[in-house]
Amino acid sequence: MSCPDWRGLARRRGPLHGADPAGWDDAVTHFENGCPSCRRAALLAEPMLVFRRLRGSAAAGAAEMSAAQEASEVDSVRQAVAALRAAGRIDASRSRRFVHWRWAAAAALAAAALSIPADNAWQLQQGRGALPSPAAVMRGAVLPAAFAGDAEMPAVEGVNRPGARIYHMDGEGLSVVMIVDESLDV
Amino acid sequence: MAPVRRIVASFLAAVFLAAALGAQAQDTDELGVNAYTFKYLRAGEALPLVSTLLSKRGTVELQPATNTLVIRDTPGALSRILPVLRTYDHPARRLTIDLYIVRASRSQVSPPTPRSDLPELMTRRLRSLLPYDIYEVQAQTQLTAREGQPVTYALGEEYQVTFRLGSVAADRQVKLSDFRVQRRGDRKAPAVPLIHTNLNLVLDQTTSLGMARNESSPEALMVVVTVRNGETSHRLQRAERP
Repeated sequence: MSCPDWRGLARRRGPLHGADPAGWDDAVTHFENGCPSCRRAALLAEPMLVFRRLRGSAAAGAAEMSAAQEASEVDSVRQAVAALRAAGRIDASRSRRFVHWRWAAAAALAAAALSIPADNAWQLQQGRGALPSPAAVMRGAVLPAAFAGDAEMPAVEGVNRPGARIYHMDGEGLSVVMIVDESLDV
Repeated sequence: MAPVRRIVASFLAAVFLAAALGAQAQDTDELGVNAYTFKYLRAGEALPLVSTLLSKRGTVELQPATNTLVIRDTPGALSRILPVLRTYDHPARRLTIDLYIVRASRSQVSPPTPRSDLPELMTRRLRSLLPYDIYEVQAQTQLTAREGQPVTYALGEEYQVTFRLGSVAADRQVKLSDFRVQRRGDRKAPAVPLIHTNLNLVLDQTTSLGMARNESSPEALMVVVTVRNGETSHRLQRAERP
């Protein structure tokens, strides 16, 4: 099978949809089978596919990914986010009711949070060590404006795990957040 | 081609000039100052909300002694912020919170035998995003609390969730501040903190907060939380059975 048109599929796919566009399931299977040619394009189209990687490996009876491979996958997602931002694909206007991309940087203060909606609904943010503590850090402070826009705030505002990676996808009636950290004893 | 280039260049120059003049006009708007003294809430609670509404030139200052926020911003921004604050500063309401602790995992047998204690639609959505096909509810509760109240709840024998319920903002957003999930082991041993964060939720929208060691972990722990207005709510109905 040739590589799927990930960009086209992503355009036709809404977040937390009831029905995926034609070809989506085949494309996901293609990704899960580990095609190296379009892996980056797939993660760019849908970063949460990074969670699906092992399902494919397990189903195929393949060995689990090494730490280096995992790091590479996660790095691909990070690069995808950076590429999106650099390419200016993230649109600051919230155009559709349930369909928007959002990337946010976890910040020590809510005031420093960044929320940039665009045309789908995932975000990856790097955890930071400091946790918001309004009473402790905001008293008497003069805060610069963090950003203009509506009052919607990031779903997760600071995490007590400095190395955590936080994935977030919003959709109609359901918001899904995944916090990933090697030190989590779950 | 040259005339076309000249036309395009002129057009672009005109666009840039208009944008520059627009930005300059915005920059020269005189900043206004407005002090808002809160009647029901602590002013500090509104800081994050205000910060999201400020223009690029705006600032907000907290005066705790008088429970006041002093906001300096353009007239347009002030006219946007003040109505939001008036709505935000309201007597504490009762809210209903549904909390579930869910263990998500991958089926270890072939062919996979997916099962879920969660509603069908939620299960389908989670499966479309995550590599887990089994969702087992470990503990669940439904409780009511007033805005501003601290909530501590032991879910089953193993987990404890604590947070402070924030005030509803813009009629739909609510913050669970100081949100902690802890795992209690032996009764004599101290609880193990798993996550400490602040959650911004939308009323009536379910949020699934998952925790995993890495993206390819065979299992994850999830806290599924829904906050609703009032004291009645619709509990999640278990859906699939093996």
